[in-house]
Amino acid sequence: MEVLHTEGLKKYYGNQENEVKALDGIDLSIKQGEFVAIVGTSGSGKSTLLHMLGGLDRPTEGKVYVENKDIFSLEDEALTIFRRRKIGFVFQAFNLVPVLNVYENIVLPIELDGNPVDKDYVNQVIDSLGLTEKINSMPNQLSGGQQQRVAIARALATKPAIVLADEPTGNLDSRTSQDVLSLLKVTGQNFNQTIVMITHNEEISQMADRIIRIEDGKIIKGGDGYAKGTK
Amino acid sequence: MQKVQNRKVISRLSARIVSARGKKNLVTILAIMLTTVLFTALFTIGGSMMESIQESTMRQVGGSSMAGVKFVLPKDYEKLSKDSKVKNPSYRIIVGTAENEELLKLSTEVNYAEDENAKEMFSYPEEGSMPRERNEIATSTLVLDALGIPHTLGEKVALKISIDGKQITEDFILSGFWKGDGIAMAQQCWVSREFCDEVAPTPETSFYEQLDTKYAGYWMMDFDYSNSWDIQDKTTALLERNGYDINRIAYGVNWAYTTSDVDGGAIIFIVVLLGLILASGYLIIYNIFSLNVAGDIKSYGLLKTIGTTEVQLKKLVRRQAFFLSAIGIPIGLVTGVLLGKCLFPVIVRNFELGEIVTFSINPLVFLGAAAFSFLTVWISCNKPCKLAARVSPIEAVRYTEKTTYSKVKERKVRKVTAFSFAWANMGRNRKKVAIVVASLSLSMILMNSVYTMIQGFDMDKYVSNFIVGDAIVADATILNMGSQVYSNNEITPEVQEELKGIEGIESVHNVYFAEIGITISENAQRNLVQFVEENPQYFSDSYGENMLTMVKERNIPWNSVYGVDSWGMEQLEGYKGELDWEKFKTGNYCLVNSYGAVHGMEEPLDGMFSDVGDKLSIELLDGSVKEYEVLAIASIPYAMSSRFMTNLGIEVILPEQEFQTFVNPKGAMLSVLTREKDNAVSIDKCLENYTNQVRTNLDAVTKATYEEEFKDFVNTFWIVGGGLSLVLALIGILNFVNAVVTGILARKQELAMMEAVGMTGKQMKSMLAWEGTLYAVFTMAVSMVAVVPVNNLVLKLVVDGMWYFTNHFTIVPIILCMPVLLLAASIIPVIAYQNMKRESVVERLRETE
Repeated sequence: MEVLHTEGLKKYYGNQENEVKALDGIDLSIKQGEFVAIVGTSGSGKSTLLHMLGGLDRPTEGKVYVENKDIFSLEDEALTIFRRRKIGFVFQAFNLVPVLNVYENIVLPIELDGNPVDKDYVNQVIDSLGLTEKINSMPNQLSGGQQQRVAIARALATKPAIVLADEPTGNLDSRTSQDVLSLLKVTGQNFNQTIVMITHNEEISQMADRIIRIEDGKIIKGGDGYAKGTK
Repeated sequence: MQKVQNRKVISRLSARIVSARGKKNLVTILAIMLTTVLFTALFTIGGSMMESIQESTMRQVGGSSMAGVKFVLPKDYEKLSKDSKVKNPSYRIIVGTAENEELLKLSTEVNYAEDENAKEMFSYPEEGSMPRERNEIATSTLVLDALGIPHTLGEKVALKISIDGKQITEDFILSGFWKGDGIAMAQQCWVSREFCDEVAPTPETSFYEQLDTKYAGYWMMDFDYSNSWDIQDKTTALLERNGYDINRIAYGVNWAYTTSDVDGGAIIFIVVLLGLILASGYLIIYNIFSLNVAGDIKSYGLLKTIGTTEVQLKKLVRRQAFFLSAIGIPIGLVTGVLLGKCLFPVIVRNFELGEIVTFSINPLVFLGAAAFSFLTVWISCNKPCKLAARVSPIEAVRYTEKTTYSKVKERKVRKVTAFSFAWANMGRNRKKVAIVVASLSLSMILMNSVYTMIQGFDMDKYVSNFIVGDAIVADATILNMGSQVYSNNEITPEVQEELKGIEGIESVHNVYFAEIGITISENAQRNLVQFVEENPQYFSDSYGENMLTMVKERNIPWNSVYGVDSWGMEQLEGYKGELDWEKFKTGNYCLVNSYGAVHGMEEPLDGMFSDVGDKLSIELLDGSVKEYEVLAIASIPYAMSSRFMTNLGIEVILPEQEFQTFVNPKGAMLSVLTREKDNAVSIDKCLENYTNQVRTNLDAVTKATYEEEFKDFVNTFWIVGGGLSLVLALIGILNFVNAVVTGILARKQELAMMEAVGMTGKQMKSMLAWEGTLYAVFTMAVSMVAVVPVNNLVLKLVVDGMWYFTNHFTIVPIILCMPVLLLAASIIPVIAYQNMKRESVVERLRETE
């Protein structure tokens, strides 16, 4: 089943003389439970793509469908609400709220939505990420790897349609990177989560089910494949 | 040692950092400016006031010289003039005093003076010249007016001059005159040297060695020193150095120069104000600079990485402060002076400085205000400088805002709501919160105090001290406090009739007064002896001994004896016994006051010198003595009193009839008038006409005058206190805005991230509004708590001596401000957020990289 697809996604910056085509007609399709890595050099447009997929930024042209919903048909406020229900973000800089403890950070999107927390599910996520001991700690008491695991837990807590990870290991050493990524992958599988991750690290990208390669705002490989076999 | 030429780099860097901050500098400049405005206004007003006080004191003293030596001979003058410390010596020679009848109320001296001395005494002809010919004279317009001589040169001036008791009459020709100053103790008539030498030749023996006291022909020497510091000691040193016994030579220093006269209350008031301004200035400038430094900390970290030393980093920050001061302070100085100029007349109206007050701008005021402002900036950026200097290059990269929450390692899970979020955020930079709250509270507390003061001023209490009834008419010498001569019986029956005839006057009640001797009972004698002995502070030295002798003889001369009618009796303040007019008017009784009712005593003393039922005798008009029984203990209100105190402060009150018959039949001292309630005619105008045209020797004060005066006084407090509160409030709000805005900017990425994970704009605004609201709530709490000690300690010092002040504790102003503050505090963060939202989430998120 397809959870996400884009149609002719374009994002241009600047004026005509000095136009930068960050995204130049992206068509891709991702199905339920897939772990996709988007790779490309810096400036290739991969971050812009991720922001589009998550509804953080509006495209110049084209559409993004999440669970068959055209997300850019929504107003800003509605889009934000859609985002907290359907999309989980994991950032390179962890981006935890420093004044909230680990548990509060994890359930923040749920509480923002005003919904009761599905405690069993959240505890399961916390447990599978190995954070049970730390739920009362403040973010500044955690190591980088631990912080990123909290961020992953936060992304999974709302049972989103899709988890978007922006260079999730960018701030971590290689050992920790491996650990965090394995956890991300395993947890994704356990909870049947669709994960889209961007990275410039080839080695990291190998852990994904599928690799989409992007260059100068265009997909040069892997855009419409549905399985590893297309490589 | 080689001098390192790195100053240019540092200053270029500072300039760049400042200009990179662009519009954000406005907040800093505004803060520095406001602080400077406050200092300048305070210094301008304070300085002008001190100068006016000094000037009016000099005019009163009648000279601007710093010191003078009295009754010397020419050889003494020569000797002292040669002393190296003596500057601008000048002299005048005593001739005598003018004794024309017309000059009875105007103390007028006749002297010869050098031009310099006349100038120094503010008595140099503005028209014409000093006398040159033997029969020429120069004098003030006041003397001419009193003598009825027109202000024209060449007029004949006939003077009766008393020279050491010998009277001569001389006709002079007016050679010059100047505008006389009523405040001066004496007026001058300058005669020529020729005339002076003729009638008052230089004596041969020293003044201090002569057998009888003769003044004529002795020299009065005035001079200055290089500065006015400690002129008392300078003068004694000068005299001793030149071989004089300071106990055997009369000398004087001009008390216009001795600053010890400045009263303690004013000093406390000024120190409190200075402290307040410094504190509020510090709170905002410090906050701005530490937030600025926090914002630029990455750059400082980078600079340190590439080898900038701590000292250089400190300089870098300090120099930014100097740049901004260079803009803010001059603007503040100009604004402050203009503000001071506007406020000065309003403030001065309430200090009796005479009619001439000058607003002057002393360069020292600028220097002082600039120095204080600069000092505030300097102190304020001390800590931020250290913060920048101590930055660790590695940590700086991750540094967003100095947070103190790191002390919390763990915390129980709570439900995340907009409020709990905001509450947690307040804990991140407690220092910042404390400073903003302190800054806002300062203005709230000040405003509350100003309100408490104004509300505590009791107009009835104030007015009733000066007036009973609706107006008081008396001889000008009674109502004019500075007057030396008194006319106690100018309200003759004729005048009383005239007063009754004035339109709008309902009734006229007379108060009679005489200073006469009384004989007291043995009981009163015992009480008085005890009183004198127990209160030595009121009876120092020979004065006390005299009092004691008089008391022991039971015969006390010069007591205040009043006569009142039945209405007047109702106005008295009774302490013991019954004020029964029917009994009183029989003429067998009198009323006496208690110790505590004596004007001028700081606190009422317990006990009465004479008890109800005691007997005392009064010397009557014909020399006989009449005995009265004390009916009650009561005192005359100040408004109805003679306004001066006699020996022991004893007041005896008799019925009007009794007073007229036996003490003084001529007339009353003053009349208390009441107006017809439903007559709209202004008795003020009528009385003014009456005293200016019909009876020029009389003067009138009306209730309306004092009510006006009181309102002026209260208005001054409103304007000055309200203005100060307003500026402090402005500073507080500026501080709050700055803190909120920088707080939001510093959390840019964090907020963007929260938006990314699904915090809607509404939720964000609600959280930020709560943060602002918490500032407001803290401010309220702090103000309400702090207002109690401020009210009890500081306010008490300021209103010390204001007897018309009644302290009613209140926090109404703070409560009234609450909605305004809450509204502002919840709206400002939202506006700041709205502003920030112009950038997209992605842009804001990216700034991490």
